[in-house]
Amino acid sequence: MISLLLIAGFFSGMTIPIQTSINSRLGLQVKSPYIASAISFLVGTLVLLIVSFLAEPHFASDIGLLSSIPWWILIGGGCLGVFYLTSNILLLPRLGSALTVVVTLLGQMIMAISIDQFGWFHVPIHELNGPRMIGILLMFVGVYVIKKY
Amino acid sequence: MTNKSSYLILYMLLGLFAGMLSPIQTSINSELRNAVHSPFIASLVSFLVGTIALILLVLIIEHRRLFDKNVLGKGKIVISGNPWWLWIGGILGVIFVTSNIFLLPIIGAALTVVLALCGQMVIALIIDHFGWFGVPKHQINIQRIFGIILMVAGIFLIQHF
Repeated sequence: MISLLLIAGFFSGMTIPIQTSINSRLGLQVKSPYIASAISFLVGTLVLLIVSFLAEPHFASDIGLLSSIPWWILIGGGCLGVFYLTSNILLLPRLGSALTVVVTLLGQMIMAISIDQFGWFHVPIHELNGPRMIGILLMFVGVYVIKKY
Repeated sequence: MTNKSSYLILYMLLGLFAGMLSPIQTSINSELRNAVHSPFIASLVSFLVGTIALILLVLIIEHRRLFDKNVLGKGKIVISGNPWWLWIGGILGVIFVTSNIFLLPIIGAALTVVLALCGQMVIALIIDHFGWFGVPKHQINIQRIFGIILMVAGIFLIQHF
């Protein structure tokens, strides 16, 4: 089971550079990375609407549950996603692709380790230890080597 | 400190901050999933909010371009004169966001981030190697393969300890 999950995580990451390649080409065509992102999100929303409708037999009553959810959970994910996307668009020409990847990754790892360490957002607690720290260090060296050569 | 280097530090801090928000985004989406009992609907809400935010952003930043007659005319050319895959970037985003909502509460935030990163690097090397999607060709070399091996070793350590 766990190895299946690991493979799923790996494959989900594989979609990102393909998406970035497609969206940057779309951005050249429509002459704006923001319009390209908006088109990309709109297509994603429509696809999810269809998938949710087909996959969830209780679609209507599930949607009804949304009214009882705190506002920051409702709009937090989407807003943070757009902030992340927009920052990347702004930073890429100013920092270059290598530095942009390394600083955003550093931020991601700091926060991901904190979430695991303290069990925020109902994630099972998983404390940082020596081998995990070495593992994260190896990731950074790997990314650096790939970006450099 | 010169003006230019202080800007650079400011940009790096923005990148660091944006990166920190990324696992929070996935965690909030996972909370949403628990509330509506469906990763698809959680993802749908996230994308819908994102779409609305981006449309507002486009209206603010690009309103001149958007309502320019010449650009509107060119819109038809963009839609008819391009390969179909130009429009499916969003579907790939859906796969990423939805599977992360599913994975993060089970395998933890750090492992979710590093696995996606490794998949990202492997496919990026392949895209570079073959020059897909009009990207300039950049052949795979021994250093790049070494980089991937380091990343896999890192994942192994993070998963086992």
